[in-house]
Amino acid sequence: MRKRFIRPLLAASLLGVNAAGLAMQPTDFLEEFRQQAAADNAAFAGFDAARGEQFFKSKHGDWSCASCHTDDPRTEGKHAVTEKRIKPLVPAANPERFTDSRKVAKWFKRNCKDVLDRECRAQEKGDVLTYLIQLTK
Amino acid sequence: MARQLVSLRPIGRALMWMLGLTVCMEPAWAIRHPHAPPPPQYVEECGGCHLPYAAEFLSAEGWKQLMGNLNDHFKVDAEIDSGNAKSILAYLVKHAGHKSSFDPGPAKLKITQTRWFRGTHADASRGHWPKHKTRSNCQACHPKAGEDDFTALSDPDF
Repeated sequence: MRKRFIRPLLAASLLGVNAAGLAMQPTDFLEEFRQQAAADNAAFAGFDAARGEQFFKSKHGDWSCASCHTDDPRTEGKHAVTEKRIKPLVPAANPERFTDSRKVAKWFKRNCKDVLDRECRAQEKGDVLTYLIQLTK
Repeated sequence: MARQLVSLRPIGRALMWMLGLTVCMEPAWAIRHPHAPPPPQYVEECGGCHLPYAAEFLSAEGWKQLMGNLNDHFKVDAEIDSGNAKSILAYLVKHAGHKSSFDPGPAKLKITQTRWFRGTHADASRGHWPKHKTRSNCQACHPKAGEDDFTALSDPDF
């Protein structure tokens, strides 16, 4: 009797936590990007850290991701225009990174538009996140 | 006895005049701190890329124009969701600078181009903007700007 109430309650609260953008892990985003990339491209063959690093450090116009996050994203970065300090992007160096779905969506959208003048593809986001996750402190 | 020889009244009057004049002569562009604490959305959304500038720094009209054009925010797409944009704008307009801080005519959207900024940074403008590529980084010269304290300067020669 009690279980009938507790289970839905538990499930609902878990859902609520996710909807609020809390309690996510970096690997959860990787899975999300994997599903999206597979839907975008039938020939999708997984993510690649080396490709992510290349993407992260290459200029796509005036800027690269590294313009603000530096070539070593385990360290503190600096906004290329305003000079505002940016906390490390690598989860091993900053456990707050990639734990909030609202923030992840917002910053990928905003920063990809700055750097590439368009939004990033799931393949690109997954490659970059794979690169960032495998960097250890 | 002394009281009869020297009346204190003229001195008192002079003091009151000095006080009155000091109050009147306070520059119109003086920014009064601390101002109302900004809503958390302002700190998160705007403060994510730059110092969450005090609302007094621009006119109400300036904030309206700036917030209405976030998709082209000094060449950057800084669009935020409309709910947050609305509450941030309400805060900025409510606490915006007094019109005497700004030139008449079209509203300035760059803080560094406003009358009060040019007035307060006249010395700095004479060759003292050296190492910093941007003037939007208040903290480059005002290390406590993040705590709303613009009196402390990183370079004592300023």
